[in-house]
Amino acid sequence: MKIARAMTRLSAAVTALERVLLIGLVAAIAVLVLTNVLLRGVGITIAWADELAVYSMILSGFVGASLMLRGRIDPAVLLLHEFTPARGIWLLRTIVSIICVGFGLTLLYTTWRWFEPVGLFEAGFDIETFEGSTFNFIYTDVTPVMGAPTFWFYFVMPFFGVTLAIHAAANLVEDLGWVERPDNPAKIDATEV
Amino acid sequence: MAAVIFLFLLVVGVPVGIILCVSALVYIFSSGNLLLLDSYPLQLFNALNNFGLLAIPLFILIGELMNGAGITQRLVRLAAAFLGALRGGLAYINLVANMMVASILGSATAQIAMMSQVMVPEMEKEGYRRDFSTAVTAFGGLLGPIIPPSIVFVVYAVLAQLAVRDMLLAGLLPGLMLTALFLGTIAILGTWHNYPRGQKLSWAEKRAAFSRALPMLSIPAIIIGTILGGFGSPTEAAALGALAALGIGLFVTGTLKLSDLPHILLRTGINSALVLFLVASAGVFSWVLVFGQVPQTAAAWIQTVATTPTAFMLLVLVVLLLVGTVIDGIAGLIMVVPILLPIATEVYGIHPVHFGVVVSINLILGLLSPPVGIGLYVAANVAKVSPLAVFRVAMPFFVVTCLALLVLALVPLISLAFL
Repeated sequence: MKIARAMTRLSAAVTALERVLLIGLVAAIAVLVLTNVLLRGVGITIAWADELAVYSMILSGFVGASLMLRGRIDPAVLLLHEFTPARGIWLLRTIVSIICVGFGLTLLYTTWRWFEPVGLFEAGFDIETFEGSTFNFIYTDVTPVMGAPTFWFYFVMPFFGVTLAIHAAANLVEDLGWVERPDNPAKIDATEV
Repeated sequence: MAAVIFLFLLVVGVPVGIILCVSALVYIFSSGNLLLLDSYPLQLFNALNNFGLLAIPLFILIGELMNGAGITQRLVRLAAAFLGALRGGLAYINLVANMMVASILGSATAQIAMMSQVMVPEMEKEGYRRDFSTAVTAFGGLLGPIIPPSIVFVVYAVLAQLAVRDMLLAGLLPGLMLTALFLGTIAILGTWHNYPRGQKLSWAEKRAAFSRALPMLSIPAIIIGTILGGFGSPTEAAALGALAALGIGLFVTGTLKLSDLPHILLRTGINSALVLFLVASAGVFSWVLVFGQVPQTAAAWIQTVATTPTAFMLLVLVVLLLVGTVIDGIAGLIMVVPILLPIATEVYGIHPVHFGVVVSINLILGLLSPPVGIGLYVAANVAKVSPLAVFRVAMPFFVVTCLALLVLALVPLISLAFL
């Protein structure tokens, strides 16, 4: 039970972080696009603003998706849930949570293969040696306009894998009845679009 | 194997985005080509690396800003000023106000939720049945994602690699056509059921209603004007629209406070993520579909059933009406487009914009078809009436939308007029 409680506390901490991140990222999207549009009106174009806005949107998509999973508001076909008695719904939710934990961990595994930290360590953190032995160019890829290393943005993928697994695990321990589920644990409300 | 797991995940209620991601993983593991795992997260990431998609959070932001800006009441009053005296006046007002709100909002469910709160009690007060009032509001809300701006059309444009502008403008005539058909339906129902007439307003009252609604109408003027006039991309039009919405809320209606902004941004982020994650998962899903040659296999099967483009379109209409009863809106779109679009364009030579309009409206209609229809449930929930009762009363509107879909499928020009 201690582990279960620790998991929901960890999920709550991640939720708080994700909420702040999401607000900042959406604000960045609006400000960057708007600044570019308005400045273009006076003949100034900031090409990197649009690129940074796109990357902010990508990050916001994954941060928000993780929050959505905790709040259980992502679109799903819940037809079976509507015709199933309470005990059956409990079972269905548990299955869903287990699958989501599994997905989070598998995603984390794929990002491990992608970032190849072991290969990087074995190459003594020498990127040229690393690329020569693995043909993995993740650490030298740059964005077309800003010329910023893309792997900094790609870090959202392992982050997403970890937070998804944490939130799904918190949902799971609540489904199993080990910890009581609070009202609206992700503290979000949304209208499906 | 992947197909069986896909269906299992769908039935037990796994979120649609995760179903697509997991199905792609199952395909990779079962094919034994584990090298694909190395680029799996990159595929997810890159599916969102698209400037056109930026319009989605910005369109949603406009809706969230306007939600707190007293938009609905003013637009309803404007519609009432000109249509109130007709038989069934409030039903017309409901539809026309919905059409105007649709030119600001891009989502059916958001619009249905917003409009049901205002219109259903208003219509009930004037003697309309609650289920009918809910039905009119729900179908009026369908116009939200058809008349530009439209989040569904932006998603389709990105999935089909089309210009977002072309897709948004393609919805203009079909949206107006649907509005006209709904108005016609109300005219017939109004005479049949002898609906009450509203009060006639004086010219001074009409002018006052118009001037109060004018700031709201500046938003669609900015969005559609910017896109149609070629002054900027849909993303830039959306950013300008958001700025106008912020200005109206802060300085014109005074219903918005700067302290509301964090909550508005958070809601925007969540609602956008809902769409963006589906798009990312569709990216990785269509990536493995290509490896698995699924569109080719599906095309070979479909060609044995439908030999002409018309037969194919009719088949798509029927299949998507059925699919739409279970999976609707954007979730449905991202599942069917990667499979059906290559067949439509490459085998039958159908224009991708025309195909997009038909498929999108078909799946938007799914939002109002039971047993699963989120729009129907939202409206019924707000109005506190049974969803099935609403659907029964809404049957004439449902049939009219199906007829409109048939016309849209058979007459590409309506969708392609602005290309």
